[in-house]
Amino acid sequence: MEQRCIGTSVPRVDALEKVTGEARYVADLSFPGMLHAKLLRSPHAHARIVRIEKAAAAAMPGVHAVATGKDLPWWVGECIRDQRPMAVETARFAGEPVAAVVASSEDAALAALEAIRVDYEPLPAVLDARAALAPGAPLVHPDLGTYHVLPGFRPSPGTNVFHHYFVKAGDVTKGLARAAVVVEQEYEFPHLMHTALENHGCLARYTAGGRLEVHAGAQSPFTVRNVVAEAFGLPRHRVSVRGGYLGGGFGGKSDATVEPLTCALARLCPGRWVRLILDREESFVGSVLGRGFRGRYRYGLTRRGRLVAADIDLLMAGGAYSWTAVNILPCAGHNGIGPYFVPDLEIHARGLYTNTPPVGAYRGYGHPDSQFMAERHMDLCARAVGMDPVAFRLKNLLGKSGKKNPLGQRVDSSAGDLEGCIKLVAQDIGMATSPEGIRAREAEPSAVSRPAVAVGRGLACLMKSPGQATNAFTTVVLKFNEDGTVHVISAVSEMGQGVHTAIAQIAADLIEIPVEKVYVPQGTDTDYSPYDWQTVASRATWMQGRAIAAAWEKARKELRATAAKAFGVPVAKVDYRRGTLFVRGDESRALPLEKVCHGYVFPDGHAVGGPVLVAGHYVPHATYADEQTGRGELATSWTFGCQGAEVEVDLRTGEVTVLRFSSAIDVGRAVNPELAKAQVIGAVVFGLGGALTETVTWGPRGEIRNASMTDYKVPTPEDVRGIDFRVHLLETPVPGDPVGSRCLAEHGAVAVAPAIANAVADATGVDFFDVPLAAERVFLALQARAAQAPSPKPPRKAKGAR
Amino acid sequence: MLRPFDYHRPRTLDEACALGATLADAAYLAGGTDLLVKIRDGKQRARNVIDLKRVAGLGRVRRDGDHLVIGALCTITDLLHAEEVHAEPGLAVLRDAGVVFGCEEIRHRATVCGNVAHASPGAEYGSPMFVLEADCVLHGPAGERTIPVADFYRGPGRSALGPGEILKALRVPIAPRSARSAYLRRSRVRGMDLAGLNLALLVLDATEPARRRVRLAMGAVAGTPIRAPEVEALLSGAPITRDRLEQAKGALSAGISPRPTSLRASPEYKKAMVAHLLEAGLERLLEPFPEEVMAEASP
Ligand SMILES: Cc1cc2nc3c(=O)[nH]c(=O)nc-3n(C[C@H](O)[C@H](O)[C@H](O)COP(=O)(O)OP(=O)(O)OC[C@H]3O[C@@H](n4cnc5c(N)ncnc54)[C@H](O)[C@@H]3O)c2cc1C
Repeated sequence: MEQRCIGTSVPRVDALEKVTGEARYVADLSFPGMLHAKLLRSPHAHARIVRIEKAAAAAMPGVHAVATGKDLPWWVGECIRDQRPMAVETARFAGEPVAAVVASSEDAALAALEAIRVDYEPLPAVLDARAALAPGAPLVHPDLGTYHVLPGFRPSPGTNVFHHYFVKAGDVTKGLARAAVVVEQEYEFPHLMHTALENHGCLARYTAGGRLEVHAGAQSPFTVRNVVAEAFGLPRHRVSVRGGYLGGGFGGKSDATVEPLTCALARLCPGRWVRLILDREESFVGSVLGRGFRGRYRYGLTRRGRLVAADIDLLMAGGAYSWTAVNILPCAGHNGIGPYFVPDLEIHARGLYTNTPPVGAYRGYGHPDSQFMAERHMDLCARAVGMDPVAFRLKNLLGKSGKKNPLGQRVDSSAGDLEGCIKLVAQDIGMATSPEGIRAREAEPSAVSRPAVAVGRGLACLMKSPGQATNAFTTVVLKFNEDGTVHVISAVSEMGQGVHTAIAQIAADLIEIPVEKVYVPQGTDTDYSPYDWQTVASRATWMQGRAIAAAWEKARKELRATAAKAFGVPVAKVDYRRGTLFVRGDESRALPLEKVCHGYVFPDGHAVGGPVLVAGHYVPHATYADEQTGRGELATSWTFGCQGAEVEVDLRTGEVTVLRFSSAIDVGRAVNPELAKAQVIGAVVFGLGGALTETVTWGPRGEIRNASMTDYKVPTPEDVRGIDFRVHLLETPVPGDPVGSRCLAEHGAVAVAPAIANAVADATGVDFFDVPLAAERVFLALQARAAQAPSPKPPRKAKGAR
Repeated sequence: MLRPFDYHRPRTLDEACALGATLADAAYLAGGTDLLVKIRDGKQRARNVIDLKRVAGLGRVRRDGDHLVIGALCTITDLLHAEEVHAEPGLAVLRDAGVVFGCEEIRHRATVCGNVAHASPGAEYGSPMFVLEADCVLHGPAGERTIPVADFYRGPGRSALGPGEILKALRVPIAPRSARSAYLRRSRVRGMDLAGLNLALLVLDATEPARRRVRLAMGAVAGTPIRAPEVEALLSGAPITRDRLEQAKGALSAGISPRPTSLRASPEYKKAMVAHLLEAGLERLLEPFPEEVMAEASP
């Protein structure tokens, strides 16, 4: 294969549909006789539901059904089946649905909700991970021991621990004892919300024939199908899930969230479509949250700055139900030291049930969570041994030496040029190169005297592997048309990331036809689409590329067989190149693809072969973690990179302004460089939100106080337009891969927070061990430090202070 | 979700007032950017919404001698397009507040009178109207009355508007050209956000320290926008040296006790930031600043 389209920035295949408003999303769907569902949510973080009075609501005009948890006696959950579609007897977080109304209009449903009376008996709640772990803590799931659990997961009945992942290498106790320097610190990455432009929604209908039909705004229609089929005990072929465009997912739509409940409600009104669309405020409690990690890091070093031991303890406040939060733990765990070699290590990652909304996938899936801590810790360690943070990282790098990562996998230079990434970023932000001469900005004359600002630089490395099930297959179907055009049918969701464009490019190059001849139909229907586990984990382009290659192998074989008949030669003599089948050694005997791919018709009219329709699939080799060591093939592909920031801190207000943000990632092969760069910048901006302004603010009773765009502060164009974004895509070939691309999507969000926090520490001398570095927090920290030291040294690199 | 309501579109002021005074759970609608949000959030029960946009004579913005008259239908964008707001240094405070207001779409919808009528303590046009000492022209079933803006605000979300009364216009005195004014705020992001706190400054006779009068008002630090008379006195009538500035900053911080439950800024931060905004504002308006040199030169 010759790469002609891969590596070029062809325009997005979905652009026109989206900018013209033609693209349709789940909330746009409407069917005759459709009913609307609205939910009543618990105001308590933990409470016994004593009584629900629903008769008055049921009698109201337009109301078709009023349901409580008891009416929906099914179990749902992906890894641990620990949830009901709606709370039964116990509400486990503020915002959990306790009753639902299905009515002929949203207004009627809302009016009826107000007529429902619920009596609660509040119970003691656990609102954070440490409280949940404490001996004698109230149990969120007293019946944990009775739940159905998938292999590989380890809930501990009688506690709030729903999973404990650990990985060990060497002997950490000895390693720490031998270390000349030990650096210990606690960190926190609080809860975040995805705030995708499109809120969560689902439409479901239980047909007269007993089939369940679902329209879902989901990243993973097949996962939705499997979760609801299992919940209701339906065979897979009696459930069809359709998915279309998503207005953003960021992981928040990869778990089944509103779908099981919508389906359960549809069962109460057979024959009718039931529509549930959350509003913005509900999305905060009605879908999943992200992050919610604490960690204690203890590293041992030699005096000359070599890492010798790492003891890491991570806790996740996973919320009231485990969903796929379970799977985040191994990712956060085995990635918890970042791309460095440490001979003696022990990493524990425990997920705790808490009386808060469930945590699910959130761009980065555990990696940014623990790597924030790891990369802050690297700076602390460098300082402890008096080393430059760049030199310290380079000294301890995993990659070049071919040493083993915590999982026991050997990582060598073919995994990516991390050293190259670090050097590019360091150069961009002016670290490690000469500090003078970096900032033309400083020389600019300012009209008014400038407020006191401090400038600082920081960088952080990133590494990421897809966190997925061991059998997370992807499949693709190639359907050749009469004119030689090709449908590439896949179930990966286009949620803004541009994956359909990348799929078209890969297929075009593999089949050696112009990309204009390839069509990637939008939307998934589990009745017709080939299986794909989930559009998550930055995996879709990478996995699909390999599946397309497998499918094309089969198609080529079939095309050659048909052509052989047409030419009247043995198959072995037929070859294919650039849309043409020909007899090897006699290229004058050739047939264009379109004469063969729908069967060949002889001059007398009889036909041979047939319309080519082939499927290809791919799954990388993966295993469960070893019970004793936690090691195993948990990571099936690695992407390494580095990110760095140059920031300015206004010492009078605490405001952090990002001047420059540089990312360098070894992507193997950038299928579409412009889309790849846009993806990285988008992810950086996403990461900046969590680093600087976004955080879920909890009230004392476990309620979210800022569940709206008014007070959950996502960066806006005004906040990022002044930033000098730099993106470097390195392309170290992936051995033996037909396309050569590594995973790339979430990566741009992985090291943003530590890069920013390291830069702020560099600028001000104040260390933050959590995020966000909101102006107020930075200001108060600066003040606190000034109060501690009566005559503080002026902040490093302060300028313009009067 | 937006709850259903009846929609009325009166043509005259009296018709509007009559509807407002008689209909149950009635609310006036101008831009709707506060009202519809409150109805949607269930914070206001409005069974009857009375749209003011077709009422004759409510007007947008015009000059009336030495006053700027901001009519009930004047949007933020209208105000930003008014010549006076750019030509009169004493009205720069109105421009500054408009520029940071919401976003382009909101500025096209939201009205200045709606902003004041809503009586939110941190709203953009509260503190500017306080330093400008604007008057509120109220039209009600019993006729028209004019009250100072400081009497209009009664508490968070509470105003002097009686049943059926409409805020017909804000009458803003235009200070002589020797005045300077500015509006500053702190928000959590640079893009659309509600102010964590704000500060409006009007300096009369700005370049003559001996005659100078400083007015300042703050938003989002108390239940209504508030002035700080002692601090104003400290800063008026003499050069503002670094010492005086520090004294003023200290007094300003000490004089406020914001509620601790705000999601936008803690009391601690607000106390520090009013002082910062004061200094930043004076720095913007006075040259040189601080005025040590002038203090030495004066007898
Ligand atoms: C996305 C968004 C961003 C925003 N950003 C900001 C911001 O940055 N700064 C800020 O200060 N505000 C902001 N707001 C709030 C709002 O836009 C302003 O307060 C606006 O000025 C209100 O004006 P309006 O014409 O839309 O008022 P409406 O919503 O129509 O009315 C507001 C209230 O005043 C009453 N009312 C309106 N006009 C009159 C009148 N003439 N006489 C008597 N009563 C009247 C109404 O009954 C209602 O109670 C924002 C709102 C939104 C939705």
